[in-house]
Amino acid sequence: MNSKASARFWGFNPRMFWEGFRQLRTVGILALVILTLAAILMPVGIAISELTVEEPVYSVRLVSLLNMHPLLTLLMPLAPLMVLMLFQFLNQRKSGDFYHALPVSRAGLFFSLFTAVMAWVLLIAVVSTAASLITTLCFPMLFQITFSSILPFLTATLSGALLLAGCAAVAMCITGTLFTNVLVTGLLFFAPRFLMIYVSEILQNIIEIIPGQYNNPFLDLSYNIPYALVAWVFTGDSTVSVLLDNWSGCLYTAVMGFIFLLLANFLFRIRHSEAAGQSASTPLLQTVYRLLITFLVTLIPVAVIVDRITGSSHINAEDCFFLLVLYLLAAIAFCVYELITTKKPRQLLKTAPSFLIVLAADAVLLLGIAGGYHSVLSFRPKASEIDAVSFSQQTYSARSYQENYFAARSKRIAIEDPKIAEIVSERLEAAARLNSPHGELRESANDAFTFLTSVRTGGVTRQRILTFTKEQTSVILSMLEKIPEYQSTYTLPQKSGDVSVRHFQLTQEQINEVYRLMVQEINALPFETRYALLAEGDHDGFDIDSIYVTANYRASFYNLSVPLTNTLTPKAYEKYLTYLFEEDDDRRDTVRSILQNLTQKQAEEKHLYIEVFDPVEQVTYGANFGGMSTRLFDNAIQMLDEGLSDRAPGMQETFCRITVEYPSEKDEYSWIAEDAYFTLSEQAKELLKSVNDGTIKEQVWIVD
Amino acid sequence: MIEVNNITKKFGSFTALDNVTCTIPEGCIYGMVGSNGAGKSTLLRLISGVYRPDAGEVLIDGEPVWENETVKAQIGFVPDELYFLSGASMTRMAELYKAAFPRFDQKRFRELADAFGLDTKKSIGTFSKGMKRQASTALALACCPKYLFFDETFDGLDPIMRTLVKKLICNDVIERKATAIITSHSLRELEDTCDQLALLHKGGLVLQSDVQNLKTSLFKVQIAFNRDFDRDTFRELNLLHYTRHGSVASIIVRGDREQTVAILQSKMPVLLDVLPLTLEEVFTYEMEALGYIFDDGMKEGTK
Repeated sequence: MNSKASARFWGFNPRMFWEGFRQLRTVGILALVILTLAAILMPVGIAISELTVEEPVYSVRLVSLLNMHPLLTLLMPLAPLMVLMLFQFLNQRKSGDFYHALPVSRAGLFFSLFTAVMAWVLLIAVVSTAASLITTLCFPMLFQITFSSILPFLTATLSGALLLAGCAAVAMCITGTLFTNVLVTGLLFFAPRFLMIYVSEILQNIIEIIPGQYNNPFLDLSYNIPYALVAWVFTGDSTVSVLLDNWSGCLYTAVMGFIFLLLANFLFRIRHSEAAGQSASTPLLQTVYRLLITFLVTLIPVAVIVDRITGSSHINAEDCFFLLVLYLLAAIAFCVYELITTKKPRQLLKTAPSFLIVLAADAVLLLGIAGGYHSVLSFRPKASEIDAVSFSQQTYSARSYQENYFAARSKRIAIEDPKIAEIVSERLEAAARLNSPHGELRESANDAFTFLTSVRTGGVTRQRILTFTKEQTSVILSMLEKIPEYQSTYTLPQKSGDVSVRHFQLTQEQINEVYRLMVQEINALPFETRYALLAEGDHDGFDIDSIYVTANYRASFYNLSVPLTNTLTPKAYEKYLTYLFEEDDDRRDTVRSILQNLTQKQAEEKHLYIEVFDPVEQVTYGANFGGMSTRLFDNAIQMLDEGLSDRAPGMQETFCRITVEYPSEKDEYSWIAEDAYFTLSEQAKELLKSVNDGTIKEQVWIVD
Repeated sequence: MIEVNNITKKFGSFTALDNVTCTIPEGCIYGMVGSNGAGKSTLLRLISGVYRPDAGEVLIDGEPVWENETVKAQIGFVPDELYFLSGASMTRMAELYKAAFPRFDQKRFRELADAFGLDTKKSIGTFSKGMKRQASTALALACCPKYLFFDETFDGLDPIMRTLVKKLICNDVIERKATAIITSHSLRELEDTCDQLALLHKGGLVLQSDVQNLKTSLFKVQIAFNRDFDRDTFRELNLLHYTRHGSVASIIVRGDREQTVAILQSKMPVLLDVLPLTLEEVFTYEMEALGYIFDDGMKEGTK
């Protein structure tokens, strides 16, 4: 693009930018004040609550910008709101004509005003973040802000704001009323991803052997940051962590935002001024919006039809009635949309036949699902047709940071072995034969091992979740064992610059030592045991905790968590407990003295939470003593006190974590809590067991 | 100079302008008349670069106006429906204009606001309809544009303000060699201001001519003879209209007045009165000559 063409395309006009910036000043200043105040008040509020507690403990807490300034995410909905406000002139003929009569190119007008929106967003982000940081730094005794959390959170928020603002800008260009502006913004943002996830979920529900959406990077919610947050708020399908260290998500969201921005720029330039006041800029688009809304409503009956067709039961009269009601609702949505947007009942009669298009689209969708179903199940290559196979595990996010280290590495290892090909071919055949929505395959082979299996035939790789019998698993594992790359993959990586380990209770040195022992013990295990532990977390021992590891592999970071077990990693297990008990030396005395005091304070309410870890019976359970002091309570406390030991437990010894809560002497509404680990004597163990069993009933609640 | 070449503009299935061509010379005040829906506002929006024509082109000083910032910077457009930023005062609007129009003259803006007696600090929302139009006119004139387009600009103005606006437009044309286009439903409104007039009807430019020429080229003659006569009696004249009530005929003639009188006098009439026509009558007869017959309310007759 030469400079003239580029100027015509972008045509940034500083004066119109400033004009747009001025027009947004009321909402901009309001948002700036609110978010900056929130950014200041949040750390102050937390600090006040922590500093005013009885016997405050000045422990410095690591905090991220997200912890201290979560309201920064409000910039995401603020950006499209500003777009709707600033481009509102497009909805009125007189204002549209006014702006289009100005000696500014359309592209320049659009880009300058859009930039004004993003400038406000950026300004608010920077000012409120600075306010949050300064306030947080004012409490060094309480918070230590992780500066590395600032840029990812800011980038995630700004890219989300760009995407939503881009959607709103496109919507403004293809609609002409506030109602349709908002509606089409929502459609543009939600509908494509919703439809993809809908189809993927339906296929996954009816065909158990196809992997979940998380194995399809495009469907991973964490890529679309604002969508993931909405999913998190309304369905819990996502997590707020999409705002942290989610560079791939930031990139995807920002790229989508830029695509919408370019599209809006193009549409703004070709938009007819006369579209102002019309629900859609062209009659065709009005039809598209109406049908799309109706189509989205009909996805519910389509899902019901798919469920009935693929289920064991057939569509009965009750189902027919239900479907009729659902389609009636869709028809109502169709009519309501048309009436709201055109306000012409006569127009409704004209457009009514287009409802048939929705029905046709539903039929096409059903056919598509059926096609997908048959296409998946018809993939039954003969052993000779299989070029290569790889085995890994299902992951729960395509974002590399959340992907399992072993799964990410193992899926790259292609196995070209006729015996394996034969097994996989047989499994694919069996899966196709047995696959049903009610999971016959799973039930018939529930003792076996499940792999996410990638099968390459004729240069195309398809993924299937295949369940193998014990014998087949054994053959596969013995084959995998012979592959050096596989051996090295399923080896716990040594602590290095590329591998970091973390734990919430131990110091870095302690956890490094525990991990060093784990590496020694796990890497010495036979391949099959090691594979079961690392790939599936399977072992026959008692695990008290997991060690979280982040490993760098081929410039991407992957997560893995390794269980600490008393059978497979006894040295690490023992070391871990030794450290845990060492850390609690001081606290143990405090807890003991509180326990003794508690029995003497007859009239006071107190709570005693005990989490018991029993490696022999391989169970963890909780017991909760609470309420007013009773003789039984005092006796129990006395028995318990006598049965507590300060030393770290042996491999088969039961231990517990005691948390004592009692009311503050200064403030009747405040409670003070203290906790520490103890090794239990047999007598104390029996006492707690009886609490857990419910043998001791009076004034005792059992929690698990 | 403004050149409109074979412009067509459609809104859906409705053709607002159909193959319109006209040329507006520099330094002239061009009036456009026509009934509602004739296409006046559409043509003005096309000339202002607000709309893009479906066919044809609009050239100002030889350059297309659509998406041409340089050309549009020379245009001051006061549309029929006025727009001001919500809650804005004239001062605020002047800032917007200043941001967009490089030639915006703050001093002139103040002078114009004073001339109209408008409070520049007060919210325009509180202004009356006429005051809003004055404000918009003042803002457009303060841009010192080479081309001034006014759509139904006298609508809502009292006679004094109407005169003031006309005076201001004329001053701009005379002093700054500006070119103005004014649209109106009322021909009388434009009669004393415009140099050229055009009539738009149902999306077509039916007629355009120099006002002076229009006024002098047509005249009405009332004539009677002491013998029988009919239309053929005047066949050597360019007759646009002929009616006879009893022995007196009224004829509308196009041509040289002296020559016509000489011809008629040679026919020995017993009554010969030459009467001037109002511009409205000129338009009606010209239109009739073109095949349009307008009854009350400019209804189209047979063509």
